[in-house]
Amino acid sequence: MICKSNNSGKNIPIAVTGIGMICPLGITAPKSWENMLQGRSGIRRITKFDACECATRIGGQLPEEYFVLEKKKTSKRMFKQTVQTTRIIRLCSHEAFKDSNIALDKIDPNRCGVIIGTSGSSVRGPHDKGGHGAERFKIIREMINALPAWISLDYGFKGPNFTLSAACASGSYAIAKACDLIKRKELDIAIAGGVDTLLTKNNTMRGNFMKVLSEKNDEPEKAMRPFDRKRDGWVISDGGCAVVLESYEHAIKRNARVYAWVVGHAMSSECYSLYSPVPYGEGMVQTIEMALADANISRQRIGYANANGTSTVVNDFCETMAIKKVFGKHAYNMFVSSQKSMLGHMVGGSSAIEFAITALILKTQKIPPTINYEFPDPKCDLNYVPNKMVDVNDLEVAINNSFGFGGHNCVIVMTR
Amino acid sequence: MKIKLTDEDKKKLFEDVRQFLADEFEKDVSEITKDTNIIDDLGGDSILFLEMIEELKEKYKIDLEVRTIGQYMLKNPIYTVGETLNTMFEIIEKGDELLKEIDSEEGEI
Repeated sequence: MICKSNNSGKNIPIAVTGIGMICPLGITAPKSWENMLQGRSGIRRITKFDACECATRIGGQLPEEYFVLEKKKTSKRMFKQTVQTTRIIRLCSHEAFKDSNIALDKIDPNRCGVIIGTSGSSVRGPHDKGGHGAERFKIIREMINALPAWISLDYGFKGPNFTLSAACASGSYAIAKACDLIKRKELDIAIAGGVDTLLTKNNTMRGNFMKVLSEKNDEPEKAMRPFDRKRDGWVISDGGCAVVLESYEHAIKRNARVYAWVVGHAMSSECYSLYSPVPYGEGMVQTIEMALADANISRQRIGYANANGTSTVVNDFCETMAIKKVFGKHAYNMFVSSQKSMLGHMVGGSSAIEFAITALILKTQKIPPTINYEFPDPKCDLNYVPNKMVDVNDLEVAINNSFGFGGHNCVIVMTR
Repeated sequence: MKIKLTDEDKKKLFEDVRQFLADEFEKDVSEITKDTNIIDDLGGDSILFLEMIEELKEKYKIDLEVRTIGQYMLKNPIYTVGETLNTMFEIIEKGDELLKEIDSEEGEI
């Protein structure tokens, strides 16, 4: 079933005015972005836990400096009352809000909301003991609505505040729903994003059972290879991203620096399988088409697609087919790239990071590469920005694709 | 069993409470006074008091259920360190009597 955005404010763009990011390639958005432009990989041998029993022994761990930042920015009491998933998205939201340059004393807190997407890793964090006395706070620590709740406490936001879950598309869903609330004039400002900390022994073993994870343990940096013929699955990573979204009027009135404008989106359920896309990407096709219709933008204007690009045989083939079916010959004029090639898969965090990266691409006119693209797959024959970033100067419109386990699809259309 | 706290006991309890709060909020003990507001000045929360009772239960031989103390607090809300201390004194000195007080008050309703 396809669910078009609640576009009562049709064609009124939503501004992206702040970005915060914590991922294997950095603990700030600028540092992560710089590393992505350089085509660096954040995938390493796992040291977070003993992975010797796992077929996959590589993953995207957070950089050491994250733990220094976390300790500096989190009180002892908050450590007891939060899990790392919460702490990551909280710190992302702080960076994003600061980046937006919004003055707290000049906004109406009743018209500010927080929506966070996660697959639910806050409920099952075996590496997250929390120290003395933390067990007493188990309910507060692990409830998935704690993620946006802490952020609203930090800023005094009294508008809608909730967590939603749509697997790999959780972050995109959260951003799309926040845009809906702004379009419906219920909010002026929203902090939205996604986060997950799924890099655990259990999850790795379960992923191995489902045969979705790469087993290229000898060359961790080369394991994630979306659209490459030798791709064999993804690796699990930890991380998240928050963005500040503002209504057109609010952003213009305060003369905000705008990274990009959200002009449309679509969310859908494939109703086919919990872990496989509809053959030939038909469900993806429908979602992309609905998003373009929502944005009222012609296909020829789309210059870039931020691919879901999970490095699985099935996803990358289906996504390529979907892009070709929607855009026809124009698909070969487009750039298509996957940041998962460098970051691994942060599940709920990935789609939010990819949304933010799409905004940065539109702002800077620089497109980070899909790394490890070495062996062309004849079935995946688009321009995936192989191995080196490209500079462009006329990229006006882009889409961000997110397709999750459970058949949760979300496509967001953004303009410069 | 009723316990009568001496001035020395009360002074010791005040120091224990200050130390607990100082540790919990990473403050210097000297910053914690009887007038300190636990939520506004320290960034505390409503669970803090019950947590502190859990920590001090053994030392002060408090054998009341935390749930009972919670019920008492609903009728006697606390905001400052001074009010916290007074509630602690009540709990330690009255023990089971506190439960009867709550029961009789509920009966009146």
